[in-house]
Amino acid sequence: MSHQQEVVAKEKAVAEKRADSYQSVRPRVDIHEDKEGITLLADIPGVSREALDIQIDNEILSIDGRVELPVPNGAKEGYAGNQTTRYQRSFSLSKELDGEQVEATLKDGVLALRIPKRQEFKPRKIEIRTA
Amino acid sequence: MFARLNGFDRSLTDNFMQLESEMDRLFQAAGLRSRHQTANRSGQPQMHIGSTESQVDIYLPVAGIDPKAVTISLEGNQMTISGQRDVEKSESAKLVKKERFEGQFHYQINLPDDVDQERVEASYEHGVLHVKIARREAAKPRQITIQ
Repeated sequence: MSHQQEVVAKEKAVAEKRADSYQSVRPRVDIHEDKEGITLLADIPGVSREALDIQIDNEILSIDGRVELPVPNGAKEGYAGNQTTRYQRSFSLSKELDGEQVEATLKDGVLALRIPKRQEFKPRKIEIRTA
Repeated sequence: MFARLNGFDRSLTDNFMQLESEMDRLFQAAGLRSRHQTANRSGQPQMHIGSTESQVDIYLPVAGIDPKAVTISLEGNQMTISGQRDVEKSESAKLVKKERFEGQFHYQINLPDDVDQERVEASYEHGVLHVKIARREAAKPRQITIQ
């Protein structure tokens, strides 16, 4: 391995390490349930829309968001902003919930997920016919 | 009575919680977290403070607050940040899980002695409060030119 290759490999390793060195945080959530479905509220301060990934696969709902703090010019290594936080948490959706109809909104670091119940699980009013 | 009849009431929330912890366990068993420093399980990242020669930056993660309801004051080199956080409530919905912080918060931070009282800026974006405090010129290392 030439010297140049070595330097490139080293730089790559450093970059990979940096990308990997994050603090994994389990976001706190509140879950509200009503007749029509559930609302999940998660605190993920510092995550922008672009850095947030929400997936539903096999009735598993996963939230994954990265925090990137801006670093001022001239900041040294070890500056507060260098360390990033990553919010990760997974939930299993029960059968009553319709994973196809999830609505997500993000405002001021609060993620709101609205997951409706499947039609057949929603309360129905039964009409009584007169005989 | 209706809830007991079809067993619906319990299953929805119970499944939610039980399977969630199972997911965590599976992730750990698979070693997926081993390379990360798993932070406090309290779920809130800590405050970040960083400084350069010209400024001190404080990043306080506090989601979903009204920034106008936050008080920031600087006395000497003591900075105080306090405020109130209210979380969404609904009368028609049942709260099946409650973990998010609610109430008052108060932080006291000791800053370097050379912070400039007159040049403090605060902004709030994506639920992170960022307070920037400039440091006085005199404290910056000066470059001396040799004539």
